[in-house]
Amino acid sequence: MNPTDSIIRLFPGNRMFLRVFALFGGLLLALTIVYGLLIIPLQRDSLLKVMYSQASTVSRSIIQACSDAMLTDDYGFIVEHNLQVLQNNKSILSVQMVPKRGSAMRIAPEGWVMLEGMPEEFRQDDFEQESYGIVQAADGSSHYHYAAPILFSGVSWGAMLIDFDASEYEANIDEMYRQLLYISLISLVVILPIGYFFALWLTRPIATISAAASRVAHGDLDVRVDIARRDEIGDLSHSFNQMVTALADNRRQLENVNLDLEIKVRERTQALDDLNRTLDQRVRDEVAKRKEQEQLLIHQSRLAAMGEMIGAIAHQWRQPLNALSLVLQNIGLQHKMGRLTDESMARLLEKGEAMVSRMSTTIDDFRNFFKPAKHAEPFNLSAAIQSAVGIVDGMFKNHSILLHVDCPEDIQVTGYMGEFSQVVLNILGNAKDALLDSGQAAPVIRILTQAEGDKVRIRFVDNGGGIAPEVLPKIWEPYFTTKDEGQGTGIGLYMSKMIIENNMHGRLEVQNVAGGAQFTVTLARFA
Amino acid sequence: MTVPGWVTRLAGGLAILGWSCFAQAEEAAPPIMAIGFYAPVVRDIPRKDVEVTLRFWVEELARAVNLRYRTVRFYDDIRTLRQDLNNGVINFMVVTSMDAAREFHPSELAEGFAGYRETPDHLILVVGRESGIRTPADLAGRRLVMLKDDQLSQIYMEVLMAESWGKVDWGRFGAVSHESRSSKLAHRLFFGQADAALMGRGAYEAALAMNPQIGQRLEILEPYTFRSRSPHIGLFSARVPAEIRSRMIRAALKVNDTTRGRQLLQTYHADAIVPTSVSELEPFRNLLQRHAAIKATARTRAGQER
Repeated sequence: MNPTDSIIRLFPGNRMFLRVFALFGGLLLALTIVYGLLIIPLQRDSLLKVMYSQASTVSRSIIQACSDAMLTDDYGFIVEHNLQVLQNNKSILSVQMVPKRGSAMRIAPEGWVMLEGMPEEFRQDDFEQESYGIVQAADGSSHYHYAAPILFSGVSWGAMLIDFDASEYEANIDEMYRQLLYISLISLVVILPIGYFFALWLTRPIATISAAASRVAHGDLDVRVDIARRDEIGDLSHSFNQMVTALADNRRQLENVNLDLEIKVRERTQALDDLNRTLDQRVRDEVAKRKEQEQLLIHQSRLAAMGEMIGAIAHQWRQPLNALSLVLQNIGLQHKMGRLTDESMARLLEKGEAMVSRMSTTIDDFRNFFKPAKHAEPFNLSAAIQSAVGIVDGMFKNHSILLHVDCPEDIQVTGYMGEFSQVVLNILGNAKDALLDSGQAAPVIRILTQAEGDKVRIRFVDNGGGIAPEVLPKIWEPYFTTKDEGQGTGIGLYMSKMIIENNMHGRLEVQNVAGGAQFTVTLARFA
Repeated sequence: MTVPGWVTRLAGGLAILGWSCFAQAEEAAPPIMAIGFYAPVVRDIPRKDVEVTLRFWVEELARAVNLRYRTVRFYDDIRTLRQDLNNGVINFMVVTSMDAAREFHPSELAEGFAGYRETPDHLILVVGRESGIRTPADLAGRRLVMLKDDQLSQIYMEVLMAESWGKVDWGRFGAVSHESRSSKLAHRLFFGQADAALMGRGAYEAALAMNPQIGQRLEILEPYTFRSRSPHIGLFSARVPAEIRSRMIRAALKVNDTTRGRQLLQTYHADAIVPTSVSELEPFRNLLQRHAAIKATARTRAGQER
């Protein structure tokens, strides 16, 4: 392994390690630097205060020592004293005495000189107030410049300018920055290994658990982590192992369940295969059976209808038969009495033929009624209703049932007219039975037809007291009837619903209304 | 009480034996270096600095030549110094040349060493360029400033007065003031607090180096310069053996070889330590003789006037 690989291997490739490592290291380094940068200005201020204190002391000392000389203009003494001061204080670069009267003088360790004008550093304010600070000399070096007024009993003599060597100050500042750099570097050197091991200590178990979790995610439930630590990481490790154990158990159980399921699926598949093999035949059989049942139902229905018809025909025929009987009796009587003339004979024969013709028409009507249509075709709704009403009209009159029909004659619908008339007949028949059972004194049935957009709604409303609520849900079931045995087959309404909803794609609904029941047939209107 | 003869003989024998042993021990011990320093030699230097640097240098010097040494003694009174030199308390002295010439006979002294500048440190008469003083005769009514308690300045000025005015008359000056530090003399002259100053050339040149403006305002009246090698000198007692003197002088000349030595030169504002000889006192002796003659003439004149 080459050294680069060794270094790379030192740093685990997980991002968390790098983040923790960088955060820890960066934070400590930043703290060190920030601390240092905060300290340096304080130290700088302290140094400046020390320099100010020194400058102030030197200034006061010189002024005190030279006060007599200043008042007596003994400049020789002033020079001598300041040279002595400079000799004893190597940090003073120069002392400049600026009297208000007379020439200023600059005294430095290397010599002194009388100035022709004011010193360059002098400001008029220096006669009045103290000023100080680090200044940059022409040669680029730093000086601490201190200026103070010289006052005797409040009277200004002049000013004193003292320049101190600030190289020590600069050196101290440089040293502070250097120390900050050293501390930062040392911190870095210390932080790197500590941060490395800290990050490793913190993230290695997490990385281990993460790797194990990844293996678990890929299906390896034999993996376990071995982290013996008495902290949250240790708990996590323990919980992880427990979780993996539980997962393994669950998987085993799941596998068993799966195995059972597979067996069952195989069995069911086999059964389905078997079923599929016989299903077509069974479907065909069922369909055939269904059709047979339906045919049977239809047949039963027709038989029932036919029974109704026969009753109706009987009603229709009773009156012409009576009339025909009377005609025959008249013929016989007039013949016996000798009053049967050709004219009366012809009149009576015409009357009798008319009655036979009427009875024949009735038969045609019934036959047309039971002739099934082969294809759906547009038909006049009013005619279909009147056709059915015509069949039961006599019977209803016989029972004093008032049948009121309100149907516009221009409404066309598409379907099977005969079957629709049969539905009308079924509904009217049920209404009649209900009216008769209820003992209603003024039984009425209203057929109300209303076109609504592309729909037509035909309502059959009676006042027979309505249908018992417990009966309503069952009313469309085949062979369900509330009539006495032999009175009803329980097929009529079932067949009606089949005709309207399956054959004519409409809806047949029932509900109780005030005083009775209401059957509503909704059909698509033929435009 | 009569002392028995054998006791006397025993005591005598023990005394001879003790003397003999002492003599042998003294002979075997290394010679002692004992320096006496006359304080007025260094007026412009803090005495403490002189004491410290000199003491350490002497220790270093003594070790270098394998000599014992005594702590350097400082004297403010030349007579006490002379007494100690005579008594052997010190065997080397650093003194003002004038005092050496006045207090010691040449036979009492021997060559030595001293820290000198490269140029002779003459006594000069300095005046303001604008003062109009061109000769000492012009000093009448003018303000003179000179070193305090300096025999050379005092005597030389009296000689100049006698030669210029015909008599020593301090009263003819406008004012005579004294300064203890020679560096102040040039400053007082520069700032117009005096018209003339009698001072060492070294001090003047030092002041000039510190402020070239001094040269623009002041001038030296060269003809009235008292020429000597140095106003101070270092000499051994003549009783110190020549071989020892030689060893010590050789060691002293290597002053630049040691840190202490360089520090000493710096403190004394000296350029080097050089050998000195008793003959260097000759100009001072001559001056003393001239001064004595002037005094004698003055006494005679005073006697005649009475």
